[in-house]
Amino acid sequence: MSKVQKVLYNKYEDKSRGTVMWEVLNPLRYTQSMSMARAQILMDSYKETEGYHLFRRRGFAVRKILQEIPIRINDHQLLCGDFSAKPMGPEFFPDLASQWIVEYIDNYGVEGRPGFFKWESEEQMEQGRAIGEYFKDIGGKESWLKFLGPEEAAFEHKIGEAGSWIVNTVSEMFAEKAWNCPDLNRLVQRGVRGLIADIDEQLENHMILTYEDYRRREFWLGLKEMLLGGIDYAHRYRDLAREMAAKEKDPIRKAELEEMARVCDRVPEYPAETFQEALQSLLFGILMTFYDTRTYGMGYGRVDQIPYKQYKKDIEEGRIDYEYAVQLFECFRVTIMGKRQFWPDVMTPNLSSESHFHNCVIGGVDSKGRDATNDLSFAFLDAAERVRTTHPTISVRWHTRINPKFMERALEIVKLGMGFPAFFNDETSIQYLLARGYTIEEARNYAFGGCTLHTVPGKTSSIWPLVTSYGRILEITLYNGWDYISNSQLGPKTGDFTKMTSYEEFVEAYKKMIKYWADISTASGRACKLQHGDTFPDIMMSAWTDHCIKRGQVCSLGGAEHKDSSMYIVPVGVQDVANALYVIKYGIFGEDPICTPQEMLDAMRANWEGYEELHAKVLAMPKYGNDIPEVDDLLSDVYDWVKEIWHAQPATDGGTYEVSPHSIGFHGGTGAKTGALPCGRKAGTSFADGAVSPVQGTDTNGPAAVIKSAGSIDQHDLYGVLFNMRFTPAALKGDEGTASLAALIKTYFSDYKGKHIQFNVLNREQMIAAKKEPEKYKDLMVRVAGYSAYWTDLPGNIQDELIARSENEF
Amino acid sequence: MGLEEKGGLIGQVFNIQRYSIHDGPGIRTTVFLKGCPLRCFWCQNPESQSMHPVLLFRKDKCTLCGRCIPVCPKGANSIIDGELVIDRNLCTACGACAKPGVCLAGTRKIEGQSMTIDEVMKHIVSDYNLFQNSGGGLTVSGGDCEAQPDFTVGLLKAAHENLINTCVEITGAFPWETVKRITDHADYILYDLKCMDDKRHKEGTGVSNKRILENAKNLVKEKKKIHFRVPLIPGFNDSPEDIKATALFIREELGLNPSDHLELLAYNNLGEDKYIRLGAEDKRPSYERQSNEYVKELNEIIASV
Repeated sequence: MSKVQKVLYNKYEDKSRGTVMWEVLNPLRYTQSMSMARAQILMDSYKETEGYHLFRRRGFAVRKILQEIPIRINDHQLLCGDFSAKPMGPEFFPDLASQWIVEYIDNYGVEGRPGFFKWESEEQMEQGRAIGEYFKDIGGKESWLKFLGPEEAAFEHKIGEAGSWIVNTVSEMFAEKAWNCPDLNRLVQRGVRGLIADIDEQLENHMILTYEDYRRREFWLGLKEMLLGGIDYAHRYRDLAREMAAKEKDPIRKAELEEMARVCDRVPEYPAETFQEALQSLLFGILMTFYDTRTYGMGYGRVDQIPYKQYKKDIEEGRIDYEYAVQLFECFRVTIMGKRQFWPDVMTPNLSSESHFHNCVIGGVDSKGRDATNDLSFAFLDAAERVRTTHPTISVRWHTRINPKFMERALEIVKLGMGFPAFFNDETSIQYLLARGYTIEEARNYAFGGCTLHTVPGKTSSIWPLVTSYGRILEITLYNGWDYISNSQLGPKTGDFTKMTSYEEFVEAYKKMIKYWADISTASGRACKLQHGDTFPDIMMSAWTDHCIKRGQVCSLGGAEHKDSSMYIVPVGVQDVANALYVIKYGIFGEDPICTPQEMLDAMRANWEGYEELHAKVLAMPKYGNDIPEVDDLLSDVYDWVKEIWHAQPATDGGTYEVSPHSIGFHGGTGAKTGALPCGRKAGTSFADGAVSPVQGTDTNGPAAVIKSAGSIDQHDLYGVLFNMRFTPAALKGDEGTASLAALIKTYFSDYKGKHIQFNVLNREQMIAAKKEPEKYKDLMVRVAGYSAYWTDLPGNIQDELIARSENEF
Repeated sequence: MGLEEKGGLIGQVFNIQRYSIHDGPGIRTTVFLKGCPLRCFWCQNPESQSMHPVLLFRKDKCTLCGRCIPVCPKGANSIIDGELVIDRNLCTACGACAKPGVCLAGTRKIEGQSMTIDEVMKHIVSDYNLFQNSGGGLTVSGGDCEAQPDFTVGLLKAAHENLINTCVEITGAFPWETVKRITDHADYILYDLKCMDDKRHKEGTGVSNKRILENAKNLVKEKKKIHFRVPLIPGFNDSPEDIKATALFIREELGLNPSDHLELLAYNNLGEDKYIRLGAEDKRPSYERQSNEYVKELNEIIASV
């Protein structure tokens, strides 16, 4: 047996390796200018490859990007690869949407939008404009608008977030449809060569008999180029690391660089054999996919399981120790922070420049249902504690047999106030997947796409959401289809509220209105998914998704094995709707009415001005989240209606629509466009976040009542049920605080069958102060509906909402 | 004992707080009952002292709109010299002015309501799972729940019938028969010890500590699970000598290890504002909270006894 070489590495005393790196990179978040490297190489490649089918053309382009984008290795880094040519810089994706950049330039000039990204120079700005011009007919969004035609496009604009904000269809295309969880494990375990062998096997026996056959060949050839690009990219880092090692004076850093060169020589080309190779291969897979389709909400899967085999071997052979694994995870976290989103104004009320959802999953059960927690589960948490970055977010899969020491550690991390880890219930998530035809082993291996979407890695296509404002739909129903934003009859006339005599009559009208908008938006959503898949195809993603290679199909165009869960609706404001329905049911049509339908409409139109007495009465009525069944049941009813209507909506390729209430950051944006509602809500205020979190400030009976209310909603058939709770740090102090939080989670999951819970640990004064003096709170982190963000990066309306959300004092 | 018709038995409750984690083991629901034999000058829940409902009024939020004046059947509200004044002698805390839609600034709240055992228990059984998972249960507190012994015993028995663990927080300032009747149904007892010096105890709380200390001894003899707490009141009972005396009592008179059975609660001023809302500004206590270091020193004294 050959003697195993022990990996040499630097130890860090006062500050961790990740922190030392992050302290250099963090300030660049505010000052770094745009990078046009990817866009320029992409355009150059497109110009060279005119005449090729788009699939192959994309293959050439992505490979060229991986071959030519400027690279560097930061001091102290142990992992290679970056999301931009510039540290903390944003890359531009004109192939996704191009025209907005021209507007951005015209509006903001070289300085860029305040608080966002500026241009490096006038020349670079003009370079951006030229690239935008080149893609003006072929950008994904632009070509979708052509598909729609001007009339339909205008209508979608009118009903979308730039208009009346009832449902968004087009604008979501500023955020690529890459919310899913690929199976990057196959790259780690089999290497690029293994996947190319699969492609070659298909190509060898391939005969072109149909149009589909012809497209298959183009897909395989395009994908192969991209995969080879991954090897090219790694080898460039190998050469750079060698070069740097040759010049390096510090012998240990030299050894680190030499090890990096060795690793990049092997992966992603070949199966990973060491832990560092496994993590590096995973990271290269992430980057290869990023340079193709940006991967806005791509989950990274079970990070404690994927490289565990290699870690175990390393430890047994004495190659590395636990400390080294933690340092590598720190390096991983810092690299992921380099991913920035550069997108237009319409996206920023809802999402910041660092809004992306790269869920890293730890804990959970193994394929036999036993606890899968291992050393790497702990190491990933340790790394998150040492280097305080907001990304990638961490999810703990909870189950009744989970290692209690691990839970304790996870809760300690919660108490640091970073907004993660979030907790998910294995039982209900697995149940959901079994109902959709997964085997028990597959279901037990689930991870997350986006922030809360429980998904089996590598089984579904990228996800195509439709965000719908149920608060707006309620408002429009009350006004009989009339929309006061566009001042037009935007919806059907479902009935004059002032002439209604019963709650049931109103519910019928509301359901009709829900159905109307579901029909409109799904028609658009289905077409959009396929049309977009054809113009901005997720080819690299297909390498990590069953059975794209076997079928020769892009994952969003029929390649993915499972058809479920790839199209869904995100209903926003449902909790506000439940509270409003309570007032309608008991306050207007009840035995002892507090006002007439007409008075309610007048008060809403006046935004309660001049109706203060009615407003006070309405506010005093029961609200969801206080363990009051009469109102909690109404939330349950609304979810039933939404499920009934949406589960009957066909999705592409034989799937159906799913209902996924996780609000993302859209509760702020949709709320801003909604008028006063019967629950006492004032115009323009944020809606409740998530699926079952109470409306901000209305849960006055404490955490026990909140989880009871949330648990009273039947969640088993909902896809990702986001639930936020906020605690002050004082409320979680000591072992008692930890133990009570553990009991809270256990009760919500094991007894109430909740699906997800996450905690914000902040105090109110801190946040008010943070809003006033953001410069003093640059390190303050919060979690908004499924992701963590730096406080100072959040838009003002989301900050207000967080302050308003009631604190759960013990 | 004549308290068996539990659905009908009525108590005066001023708060039911779910998810309490400082009122006994695990996560608990604490029922605060009205009425207390003590008149501690630092009392944090002055609204709990009386057996009757009281009106809390937040003057700082009052806009002087005058909407409360016509609704009061006793005419207790008036605006005098640009200030809303409540004649507390006239106010019966009937709640007319605290109804939704009267005070638009939300300045008024009634503390205290009559509830049956069944009504209270509806709130308690709701968190059964949470109790099971945390080792928690029901805590009956006050005021001093000993002031409503029948109701307290009724609640504790009802909890046991529902397989819910019980705890009481008491002053021990009642005859042994009452204390025993209640604690017989309690799985855990939180017991306040304010001051070992009887003269000062009387000054500070209005009652002697003799019975309190005697009852503590009896409870220990009965082998009850008991946890003693000292609210640290600056200048009253927070000197090293006071704490040492209390620890010695626990060691020598009760035969327990004070480190395991005695907890110090640093002063907090969260209740001070309530005196203003009750119209009892003259009684409002105002102290500085002890520093963490000082409380640590006191705990070291306990450990040394």
